[in-house]
Amino acid sequence: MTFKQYMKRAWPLYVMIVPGIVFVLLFRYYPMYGVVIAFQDFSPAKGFAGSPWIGWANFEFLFLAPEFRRILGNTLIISVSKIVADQLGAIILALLLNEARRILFRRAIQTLIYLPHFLSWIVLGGILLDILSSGGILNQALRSVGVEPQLWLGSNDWFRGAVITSGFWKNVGFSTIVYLAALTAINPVLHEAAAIDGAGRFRRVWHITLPGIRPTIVLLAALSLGDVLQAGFEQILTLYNPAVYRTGDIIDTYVYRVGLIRAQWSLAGAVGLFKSFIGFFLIVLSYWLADRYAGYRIL
Amino acid sequence: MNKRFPYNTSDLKPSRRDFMRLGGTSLAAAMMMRAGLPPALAQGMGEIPADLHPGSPNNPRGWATTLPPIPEGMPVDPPVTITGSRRGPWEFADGDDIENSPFTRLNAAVTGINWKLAFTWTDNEGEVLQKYNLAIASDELPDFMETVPLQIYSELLDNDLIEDITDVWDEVAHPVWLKEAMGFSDGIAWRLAEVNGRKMGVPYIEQAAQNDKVLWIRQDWLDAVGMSAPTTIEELHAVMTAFVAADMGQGGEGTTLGIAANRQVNTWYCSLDPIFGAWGVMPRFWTPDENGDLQYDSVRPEIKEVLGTLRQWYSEGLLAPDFFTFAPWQNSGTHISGNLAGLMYSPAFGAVYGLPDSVANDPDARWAFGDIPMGPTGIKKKAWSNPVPDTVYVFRKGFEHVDLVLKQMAWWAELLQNPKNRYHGFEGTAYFWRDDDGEIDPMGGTLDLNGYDDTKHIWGPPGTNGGSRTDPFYETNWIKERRNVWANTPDGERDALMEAFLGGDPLSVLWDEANVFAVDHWEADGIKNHFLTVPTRTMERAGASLDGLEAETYINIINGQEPLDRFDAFAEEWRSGGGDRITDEVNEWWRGQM
Repeated sequence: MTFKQYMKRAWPLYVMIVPGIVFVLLFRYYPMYGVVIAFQDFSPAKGFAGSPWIGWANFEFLFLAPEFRRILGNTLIISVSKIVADQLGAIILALLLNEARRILFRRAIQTLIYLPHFLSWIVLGGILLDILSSGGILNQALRSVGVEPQLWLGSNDWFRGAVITSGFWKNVGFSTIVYLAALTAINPVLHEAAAIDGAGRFRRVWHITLPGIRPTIVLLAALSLGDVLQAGFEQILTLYNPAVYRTGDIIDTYVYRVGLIRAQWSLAGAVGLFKSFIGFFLIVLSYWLADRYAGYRIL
Repeated sequence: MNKRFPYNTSDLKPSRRDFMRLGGTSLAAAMMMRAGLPPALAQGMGEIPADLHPGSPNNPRGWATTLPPIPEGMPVDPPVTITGSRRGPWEFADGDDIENSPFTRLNAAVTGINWKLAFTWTDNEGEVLQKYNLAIASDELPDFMETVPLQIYSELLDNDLIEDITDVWDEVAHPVWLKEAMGFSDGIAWRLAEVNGRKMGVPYIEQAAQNDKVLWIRQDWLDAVGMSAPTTIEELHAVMTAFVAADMGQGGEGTTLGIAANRQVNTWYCSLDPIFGAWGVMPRFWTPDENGDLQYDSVRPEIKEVLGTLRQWYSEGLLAPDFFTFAPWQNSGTHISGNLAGLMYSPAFGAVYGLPDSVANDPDARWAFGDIPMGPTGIKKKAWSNPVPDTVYVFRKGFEHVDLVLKQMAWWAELLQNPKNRYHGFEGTAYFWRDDDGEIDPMGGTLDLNGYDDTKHIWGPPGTNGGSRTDPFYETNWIKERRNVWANTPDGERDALMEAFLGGDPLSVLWDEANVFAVDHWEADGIKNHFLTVPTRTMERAGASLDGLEAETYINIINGQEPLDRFDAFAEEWRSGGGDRITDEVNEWWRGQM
């Protein structure tokens, strides 16, 4: 088939993807020239063309800021802990739900753990502040069983734990659903055969279910690498306070205080570019890992 | 003398103090007598169709609103159309909108100005910047720009996009309702709007003493522990200790607090600023030192003494163990409405913010307010709430009708701010008549003031969403007038407006009293922040880091995570981390103000 014959047959398909390509170019690539403000002392009145160029000054400011090590460290610790807790928790929950006999029970649990995913952090922040306060319901419950009350959101010992746990509570339902979907793809014949051979529940989970969803686990773990600099801006903004800056201040909340409240557009732009730059390498790495260990590739 | 107006400025110079002493009650009459004018200024009123009038004069229990004289040369013919930006949100009766409402209809009849909406925003942090930046970038600035944030203002100034109104102001601005009203507190209103001696905009002015604190006390708790209202910090400590020891609170065992506080030590609600004030310092404020230079109070050595005191209180369990996880507005929902605290430093409006829930949860709760206690050396100071926020009204460069807008402002300012005019909005928009069943009843019945403060529908001061006026004592004068009328009118003859304001909820009466009290102490007890301009270069760069360091240090010293001596290291870090440069920059600006 010559190219001409091929095009005669396939041209409607190419026409159909034109709007998509135009959309991506117009709304994803065209605005990218805005990243130049990271290298400017940007003022909206002067625009992109008129604002003075200042080279790497914004990046120098960020990297030399006394807080930089702290906020980068907090970001990495919180986001990696969240990714690990989320994935492990989701796998365990999915396995448990998969073994549940009653469909109704399974559906009910699935819906309940999925529910918090739809609440905004602004709402949850207020609720958590109350639950976790010194006289809040959690501390009262602990006191009734003889445990000393703790300042969950007010002490550097507990703040990260509170963030990771509340993040887990909100997001685990969503991740669980992905694994549950993967579990349904396992051929039930395998389970039946193993059962006939005398394999118990745990053996079947270990030798059939887990290997069956291994590609999904690897894929999701690899892809979540791209989120390693996203520690959860809205969540931390609603929960943190100055006493826990040491363990809870992340890049995004810092930029919020420096950049947006004080209208330092260029600095905020520089941080965004820095995060995108790191994110870009992590995404390339994650796709390589996904290809290497899960056979998933985009090209 | 300015012949455009019936008032002759040389005859009447009621100082702000006169204004206060007269309590607004007799002010208008006094001014008119001095100006030799009849009390009822009927001039021009006939030209305004009756259906455009505010008030409800035809209601048997209603009252009439007096309209000020129509400014000379108005309404302009042909009418002019002016574009403006507006902060939302707003709500109108069917068929009305921001360009066509009872306000714009009356305004058009009086002035001949038709307002056209350029753009609007509701979120006053992010959205307002976006909208103005968009207007700047697309070169489509409206004629009149409402509540321009500081960053935008300096951007407009830097790029020469604002009309200089100095000459028009001098010629046209009303001597009483604009010039005189805006001249309070040594002209502080003009700190932002005036640049190098030129007026670049109209100041945005809020109520005086709006956030000035009074000490709110649970009187029933005081009685229960047999003590009287504290007058010194030492007595305050004794009262707090007694409240906690007797576990007066409504929460679980041992959850009673000495005083409600939050993560910001100098803030608008449940603040600790009068504690710092008792030692004569005010965190986050720039104040003159003995040489007249500005110093940053947050790093002054006196702060250490206050932090030491608060640290002591925290260790004694007088502050909530996690007070610093709360933002100011979250105090009302927990510590106040939950009746955990019997003391707070909050503004007059605290009477209706938090306290209603407190009383609902504990019908025995009796709240009272008192003056702030004084410190060990007899100092009694608090944060002076500046009625001039970081925003101005400006006009587009080249706009030709600044004079018309100024005249309009003066007319509305006089209508609203002279209590004798008894302006109270439009029937059906600002208030409704209701009968005993709560049904809307056009004749008779009681008054429902829901949405009473609807003056935001007027374009420009004294309207604007958020409550901008030209006279910071407007609200207080109104309160005094209301109380005066109430006291001098026999029961049964009071009109519905007075009953709606004063006949009802005791907490709103308490609010009024606290308001008058706070305004009376405003100038004498206030520590002023003297740095009132755009952030300096180093503030923009290092400010967030330094502010974060400060907040972190203060809280960690109070809650015992850091030793008290950490303060000295903090002050040193602040200086070397950009604070010294900021101080130089601030004083460079300050010397330019002399």
